[in-house]
Amino acid sequence: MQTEPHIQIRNLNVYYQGTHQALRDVNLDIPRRQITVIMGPSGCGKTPLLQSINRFLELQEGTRIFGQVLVDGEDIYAPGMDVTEIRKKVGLLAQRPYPLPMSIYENVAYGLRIHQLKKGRELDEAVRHYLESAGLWEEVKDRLHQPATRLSIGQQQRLCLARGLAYVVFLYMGEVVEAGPAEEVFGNPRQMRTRAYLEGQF
Amino acid sequence: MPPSSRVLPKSHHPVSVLRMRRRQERAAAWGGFVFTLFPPLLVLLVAGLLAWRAWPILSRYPLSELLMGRSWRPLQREFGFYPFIAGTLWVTCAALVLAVPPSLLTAIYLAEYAPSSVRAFLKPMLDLLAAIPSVVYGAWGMVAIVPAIQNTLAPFLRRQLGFISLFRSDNPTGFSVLAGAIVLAVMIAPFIIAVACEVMRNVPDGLRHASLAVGATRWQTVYPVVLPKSAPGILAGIGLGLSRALGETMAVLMVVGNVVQVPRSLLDAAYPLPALIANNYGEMMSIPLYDSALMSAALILLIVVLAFNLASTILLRRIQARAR
Repeated sequence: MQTEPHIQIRNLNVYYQGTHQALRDVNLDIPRRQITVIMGPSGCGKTPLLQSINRFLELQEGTRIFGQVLVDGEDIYAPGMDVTEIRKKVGLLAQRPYPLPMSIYENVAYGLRIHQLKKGRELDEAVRHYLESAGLWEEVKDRLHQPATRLSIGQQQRLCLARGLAYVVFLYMGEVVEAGPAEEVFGNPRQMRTRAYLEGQF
Repeated sequence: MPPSSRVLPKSHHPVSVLRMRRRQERAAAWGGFVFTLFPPLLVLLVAGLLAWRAWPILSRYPLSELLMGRSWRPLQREFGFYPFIAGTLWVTCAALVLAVPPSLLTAIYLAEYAPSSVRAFLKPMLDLLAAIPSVVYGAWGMVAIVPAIQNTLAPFLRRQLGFISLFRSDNPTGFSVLAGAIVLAVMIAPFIIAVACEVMRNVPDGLRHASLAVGATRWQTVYPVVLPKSAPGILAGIGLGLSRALGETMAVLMVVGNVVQVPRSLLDAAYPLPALIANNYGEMMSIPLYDSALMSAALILLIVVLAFNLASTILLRRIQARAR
């Protein structure tokens, strides 16, 4: 029985470009199987906080990170951690949708293929399942093999959600700009996954 | 009274200012248009002049004989351009095969893997490589590449890969298609790298992150995401390198051997079209039709380059249409 918080952030300090401090002494517990919402004015550090949980922070050059982020009790900044395994556990949906330059089907199958989780008919079923979860299946079921860039922006956002849902094992994070209940934007939290959402711009 | 006369506000500018601005606008548009016309006109003018000077030959021999003829004996009035055309294609294709894969890997490293400090150091060096005069490359080829081929590379290839006709030859020197291709490859690589790197850096980071967020490695992101997105630009870069390789004269003629023959292996000597023109123009002009023959060579070279450019443009359009 796991009762500890899913994610524990301990004394997290993040500096951009060496000098600018983005996060100062952040301590935070994100409980398991709940929706957690992080909100605040623009520029207060919501995005770096989310990005610290899937190690996206380090993609920007000159970022220095101090402190601990524990996912399931495991420090993801410990030396020797496999970044790709962390990101397989911890999904992140960007504010703006970025469909990959391939078909709708391949976009959803992307993560499953990369981690070689499913293939053949199993993959077809998974793609259908996650498109349904994202509420996009009815709109695209007849054109699964067309380029994803032809979808509207709203459809692209749901496609990226389906792509994220498809591979993530435990945790799902998303950024929402519009105000409003997270359930309305992301669909009901039917999967038993921890979700941390970020809202801003009220 | 029509309602519009009331709705439209009156301009606050005096009429003279308005007229000035309109004149300025028109002058800029027309001036730009006229100067933009120059490059295409120049191409037509050059082609026309070449065709006019080449006419004595073109009108006297059937085209198939000129293009496919293998014997080049100006004194006997035999003008077969096939050895030169073949030489040009051999050297160019070999140079591309040598240059493209390492250039792409370099561009991928610079655009996707290298930290910005490394990039800031390496990029200017690569640009410098593109600025070295071709005669310097030719000299380098003569003192470094040709002896290396003669003493080391050619014997090795003959011994190890001699069963492939590509590496079989009785050319005792290092002056060969391979030498020309190596020098050319080094010359065109900076162009391909610069363009490919620039194009890949223009792929939005959000797209990269979308792939990385799924747990893809860098390479798993480059191959299915960054490369397809930048394919048209990379192809344009290769086209640029190709055009340069087809026309490069000095560096190539210093190392290819300049023997009139159709090369059958990388180790054979060749005689590309630009070398033919540069070596012979101004000499032996008393031979009848010789001047016209060299002009025909120039015209053929021009047509080959235009054809390759046209082909790569069409390919580019196709890819772009599919990517939309």
